[in-house]
Amino acid sequence: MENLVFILLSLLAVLGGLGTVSMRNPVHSVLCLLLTMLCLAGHYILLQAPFMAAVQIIVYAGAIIILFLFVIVLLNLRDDVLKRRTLPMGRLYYIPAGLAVMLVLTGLFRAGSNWISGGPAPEGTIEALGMELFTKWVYPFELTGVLLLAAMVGAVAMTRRDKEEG
Amino acid sequence: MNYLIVFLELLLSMALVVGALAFSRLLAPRPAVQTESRPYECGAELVGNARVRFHAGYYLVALLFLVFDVEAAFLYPWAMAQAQVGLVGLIEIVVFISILLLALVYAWKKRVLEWL
Amino acid sequence: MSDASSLNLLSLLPEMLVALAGLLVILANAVGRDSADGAHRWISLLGVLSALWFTLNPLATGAAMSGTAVHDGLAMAGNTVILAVLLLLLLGGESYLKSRRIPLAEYHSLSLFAATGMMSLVSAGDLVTVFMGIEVLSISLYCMAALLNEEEGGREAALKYFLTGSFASGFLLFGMALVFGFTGTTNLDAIAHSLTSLDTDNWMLIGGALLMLIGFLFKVSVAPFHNWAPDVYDGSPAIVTAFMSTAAKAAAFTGLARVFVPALGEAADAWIPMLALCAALTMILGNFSALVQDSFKRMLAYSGVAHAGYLLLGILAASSDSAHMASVLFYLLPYALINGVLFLVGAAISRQRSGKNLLDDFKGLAADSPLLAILITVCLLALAGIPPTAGFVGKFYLFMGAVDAGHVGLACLGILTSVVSVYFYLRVIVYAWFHKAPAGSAPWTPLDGGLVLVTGLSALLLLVLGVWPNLWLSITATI
Repeated sequence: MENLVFILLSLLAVLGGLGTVSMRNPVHSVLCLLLTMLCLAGHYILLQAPFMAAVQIIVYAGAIIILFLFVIVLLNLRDDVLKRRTLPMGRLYYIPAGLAVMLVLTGLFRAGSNWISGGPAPEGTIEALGMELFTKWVYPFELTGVLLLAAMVGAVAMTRRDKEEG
Repeated sequence: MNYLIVFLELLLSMALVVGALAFSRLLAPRPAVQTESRPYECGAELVGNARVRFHAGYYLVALLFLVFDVEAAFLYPWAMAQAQVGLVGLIEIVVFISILLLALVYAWKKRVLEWL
Repeated sequence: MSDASSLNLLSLLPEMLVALAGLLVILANAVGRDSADGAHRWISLLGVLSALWFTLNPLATGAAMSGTAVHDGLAMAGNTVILAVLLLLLLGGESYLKSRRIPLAEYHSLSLFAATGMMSLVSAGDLVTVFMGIEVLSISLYCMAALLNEEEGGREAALKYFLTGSFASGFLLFGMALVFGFTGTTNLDAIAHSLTSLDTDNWMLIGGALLMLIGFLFKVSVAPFHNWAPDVYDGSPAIVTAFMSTAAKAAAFTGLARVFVPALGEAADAWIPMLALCAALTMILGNFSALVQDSFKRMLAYSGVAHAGYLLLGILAASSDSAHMASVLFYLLPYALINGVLFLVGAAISRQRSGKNLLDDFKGLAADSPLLAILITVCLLALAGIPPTAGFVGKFYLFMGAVDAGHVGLACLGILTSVVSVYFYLRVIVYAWFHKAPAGSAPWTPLDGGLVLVTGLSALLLLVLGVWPNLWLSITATI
């Protein structure tokens, strides 16, 4: 049963990912991304991390997808703009990406089933997560705050100058 | 934990949306001729559409929402574990909140929250 | 776990001071009057100077924050380079910022946040901190690359930087996940420890290491992952280019060294061939591409790519004997200072002529300002690795280390490509001393005194370190 759910979710997630990059209409792309995010939330539940699943839905499927949709809908791209959207040199990046995927796939097939030698998964309860986060992981956690502030300042700086120009 | 109920709720909410769309499709009056749905039934031909490009400043509101969404996501585990992490944890979360509060103050002063 | 001794907050003082300065700049901008522009600069200066003081005279060292940060010699040397560049740009960049109307508060706070990220990357004790450090520095730099939009190409540079940067972060994160899956820990010491008892001939580990390596090689612009660098360096404001081509590169190199040499050292057989191949390719491509550039910024960008190749030789040497790490760290300081000075002064000189950062802008410089011509000459000679500059000493240690580690072919390639590089560095010097300024160019106006003073002092430091390398080597060798 669990394996079946895992395979189903994974297939849907991969499909969503493929849809994200191949859809011509950006709104459809974002909806495909939403599918992937939701499937990942399902994976977290399978991994017994319900809080991570909730965060995945609230932050990723909620806030980030909304932000994307906001940008895309308000940008109001017309069909003629959508046609010429290839990035110069963009194709070059396929090479390392393809190599990486190949590498991982070969690794998975070569390694067989028992490639994880790490310890058991930590408890998925929220108290345990809070304990870990506020004792062991304080430093990366506070850096997250700096990261968010830097992103905010940068975004304001970039759009504000447009405002002054009219 | 039993996630069957969550799954059922998901199905129910999907059914609600699909149902609402289907009902409106069924019940809504449909014009016999396509031109009836246009803003002007006669006169000038329509060119392009009426939607305009919005200013980039509006996205900042969505970004600000994202910042505080993440903050809320971090507050929850702190609240659950605050008995164990005690004063040190309180200081840590206060530092974190202050940093993000600064983002709000900054955005406020830069008139991000004002409607253009 | 949460007691103060395991936090070891005092060792994090430099990072905290820099971050605090960034926060204060934002606060001053939010609550202060618009006219208080000078405040940003003074707050930044105070933060950087105090951080530099506590970096060189640490109150506490060792592991901090439950092992997510480690303040050892590597962190000390890396932090010093980052803060030195920041100081150089703070003291010498004022006139550039004013002339291009770059928003001061945003520039200063973002550069301080970027420095916070760099410093936490340099002193990371855990893969999570490595990733957070890289993200903080990258996000800040993406925004800084877009601060200038009066010229075309500024936004394009920022977008390219952002796209490649996030692509690289994806590789990095995937690699970290695989390494975590294999070893069951993200702590760098614990990874090193667990690899001694595990079979390292495992595809999961090798795949993880290589993916992480690709991510890092993107960040330090090593061929074949260097395509973004010339465009981004060319399109960004010169002062931001000066920052990202020096401090960010130094931080990424120190991070690379930290993750690969101590932590993944046991799995060195997996990543050394790829690193060696990339180093060779980088030295060839970087130097030969720089030969044909007309733009000073692009020439320096390709020369930066080539130098990443030389620095990789040092990492290769360090993987067989960690004492060679000192040669990487030694070279980072002169490299960062030279490029910081050249980007800043180059922009100021070009503004007097075509304003497009062309190599031709240097023609007749010696007649207009002999002092600047000397300055440029010293820096370019140091970049070419000609004695008695610190550039020579640095390259010498790097190539010697490669020979020691058995990479004789690569060392020879390094020396040969360095000879090629002399051509394009010398071209600028010849333009400056033996060519006449193009007819009809505007009369020379002296540059900002602060800029000349601080860049002159940096050039002097290059000469001093070239003659007495032990001044800096003694710090970098304490690892």
